[in-house]
Amino acid sequence: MKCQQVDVNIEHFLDSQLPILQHDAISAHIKTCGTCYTKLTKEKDLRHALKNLPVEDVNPDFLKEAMQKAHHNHKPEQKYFISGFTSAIAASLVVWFLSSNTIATAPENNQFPLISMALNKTRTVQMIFDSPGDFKAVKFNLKLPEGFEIAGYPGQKELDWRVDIKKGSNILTLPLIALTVGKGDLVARIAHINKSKSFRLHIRSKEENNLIL
Amino acid sequence: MRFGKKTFETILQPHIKHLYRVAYRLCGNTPDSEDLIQELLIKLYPQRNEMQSIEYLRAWMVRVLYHLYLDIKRREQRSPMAWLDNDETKLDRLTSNNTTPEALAEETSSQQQLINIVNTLNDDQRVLIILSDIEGYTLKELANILDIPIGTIKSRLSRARSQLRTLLSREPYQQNYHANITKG
Repeated sequence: MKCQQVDVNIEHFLDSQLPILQHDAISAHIKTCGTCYTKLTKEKDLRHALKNLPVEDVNPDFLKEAMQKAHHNHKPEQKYFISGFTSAIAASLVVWFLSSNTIATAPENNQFPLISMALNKTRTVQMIFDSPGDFKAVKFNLKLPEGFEIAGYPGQKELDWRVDIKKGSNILTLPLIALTVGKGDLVARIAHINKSKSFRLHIRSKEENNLIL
Repeated sequence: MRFGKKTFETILQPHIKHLYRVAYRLCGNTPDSEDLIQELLIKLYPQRNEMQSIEYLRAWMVRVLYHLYLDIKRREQRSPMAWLDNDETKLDRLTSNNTTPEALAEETSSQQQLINIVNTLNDDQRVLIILSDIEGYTLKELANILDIPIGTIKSRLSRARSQLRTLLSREPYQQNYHANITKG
């Protein structure tokens, strides 16, 4: 047996994937070849190191809670529970748009919130909403006015995605960029099963020199 | 006959630590691992009766876990925006290269280095190394868990190991890794 053959088969040797004759031939070669012995030892050491990588133990409290959730999630009455929540999600969502850590305007009143942006600069708008519960795969739809886009999504005027939301306050960050001077409405729509709610945000962009925030 | 919560817990009991370990290896942090396990339990609970007759239950559950992990990853990729409360945990991953030279001599640091290197592999390679070389699944089990033919598993695993060796041979990992081996 040549060293090259050992080299090619060293993994299969350690995985015990070789026919017995080949396995024995490699074993015999390694006993007499220092180079192949070193290679085999290194490979064994690596596998030993990988097998002994530390890992965190599961938290018993979490496990207990997770079991409870799995159980409750499957109760027959859950069907009705969910339908109640489904309407609740649309009815009780409270949404604010935040810009630069300040609430621009709450959209519950008749005035839509308004933010101003400098041309070609990213401005992060935070959409905060309180959810009455945990919901899986809630659909979000975002429509942008002409001349605006989300950083990282060039040319896309409309975005759709699904996300899980948690009970309580959820914060979504929207990194907006103004490409041209102008104004328009950003419309965010949140839908779950057959219920939905839309929110509108006025945005306008100006040359940086003319910007009054 | 329907079995309840107690039975479900009894079925899971011998496997849950292992499932969490695999989840933690895949996700790399506690919150994501717990979310993944929670989704797994919710998914498995309605199947608790059928689960009792599954021959290789642990491998089957790891398969379900892996597919849930992929679903979560796809959902995250589909979402164009980041949820703020997840940002920190995502940042925790694949980091910490700023240990002192003294600390690098410590075994825990070498192990962290090795974890970091495994985490720099692409996702397919990382999963193969985790399940095969860290968790010890056989090629046959891997083929079943990952839904990939055994021949493909062999070649991909070989490439993953080769890539891992290449990364390990690079400084600054080489020195620490060999220091760890010598210690062991």
